[in-house]
Amino acid sequence: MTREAQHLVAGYATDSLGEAERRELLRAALDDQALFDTLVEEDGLRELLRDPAARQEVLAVLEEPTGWERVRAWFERPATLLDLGAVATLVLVALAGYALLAIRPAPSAHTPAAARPMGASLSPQHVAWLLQLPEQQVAPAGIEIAMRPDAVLAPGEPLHLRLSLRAPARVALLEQRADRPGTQAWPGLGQAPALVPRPSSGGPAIHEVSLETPAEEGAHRLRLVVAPAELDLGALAPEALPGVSSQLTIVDLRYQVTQR
Amino acid sequence: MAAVLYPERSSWFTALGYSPAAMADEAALSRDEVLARVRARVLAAARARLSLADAEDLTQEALILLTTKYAHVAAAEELVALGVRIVALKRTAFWRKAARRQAAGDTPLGPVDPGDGDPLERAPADSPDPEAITHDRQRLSIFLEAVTRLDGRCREILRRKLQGASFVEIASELGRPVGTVYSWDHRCHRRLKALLGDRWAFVSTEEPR
Repeated sequence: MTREAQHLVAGYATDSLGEAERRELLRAALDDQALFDTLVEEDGLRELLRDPAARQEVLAVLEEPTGWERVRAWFERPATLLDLGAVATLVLVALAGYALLAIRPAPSAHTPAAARPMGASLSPQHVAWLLQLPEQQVAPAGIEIAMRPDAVLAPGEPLHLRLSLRAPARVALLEQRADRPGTQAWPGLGQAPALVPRPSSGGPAIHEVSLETPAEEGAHRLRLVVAPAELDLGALAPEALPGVSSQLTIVDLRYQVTQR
Repeated sequence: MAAVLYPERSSWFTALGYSPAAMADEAALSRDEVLARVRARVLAAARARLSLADAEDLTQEALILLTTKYAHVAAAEELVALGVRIVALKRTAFWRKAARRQAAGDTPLGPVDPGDGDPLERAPADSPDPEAITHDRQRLSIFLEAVTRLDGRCREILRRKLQGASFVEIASELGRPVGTVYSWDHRCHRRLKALLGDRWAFVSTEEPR
């Protein structure tokens, strides 16, 4: 059977050949057994489609737009005010969502823990005693100047510190300046050490503290004191402090203040 | 004719692989000569699916119809069309009877009477054959399911064909050469037949596979 005859067979099945096409196809089948057999095979389909009712049902199905045609037709129709409003609303919602995601910091271990002073404040004797202890790491803890690894600052310059520690714990930051008695730098004077709660992320607690460098040039030292959450240092008498020294973590940060 | 069907070709008949001389020869055939060829085609078509005895019975009945009831039909193409139709319907009747016998517990082997009378005569509208109605509904259901799975171009070509458009008209609407539309239609038809699958073969005139 020739390729051209094969092409006309589909038209024979749907009875859509012209008179000349049909005549020549059937004449060709007179001497072409494969073509004759193919026409016999197509007879069932041809018989079905010759029934006007069946033909109408098939046409009804064919005239129903497919899912893709519906989508395309929707996009091809003229835009209405409602469409424009919907598009504008979508854009606004998308922008608002993006802004919210961009502004809100992702929850992580770097989220500052909500530390707050708790218990009794430290007396000058407490501060002096704590400042004379050697550095020691009972629990992991650290202190650094944020974004200033050189640790050289100008007088009166903001000093952004990042504390990292295992929480919950009570924390105080003491300051030792040359030729002066030590003081509590954070929490502010007169306030008890801060209780840093366990972060929800489960990792170490990161707490940021902002101070100001002293006006005097020279070397300075900040001391991070970390005590267990249940240990209220301020409530202890100064003579009782040596008994708890083994529970304390002491970390120093040294920095230089230089006039630029 | 050639300009309408295949404008780029000198003759559609030539395009089919038959020479103009052969075409003239076809035109010169007597009715008896045409019937002899139709008989050969019917016998071979029937023999492909039936036993020799059943195929010969079927062919004999087809020839009787063509020489008696349709004695007035002289055109070769019309005799071929009748031959195609008769063999398709007789074969369907054969398979239905065989299926009924099998369902009833009889052996499906051996000669089966393909049915007497003219298969082209449908049951009168006031006494429809329930089996035929069920058969038609099954076929239509299968066909509709397949049609919904055709792609957009095939659906469009089939729709236009069922609305009565010729290939030339469809080609004109689509802005494509008519030969391209023939090729598309052929591919779509193959796709449709594949989608119809075995269920269609079971309820159509084709032999169950």
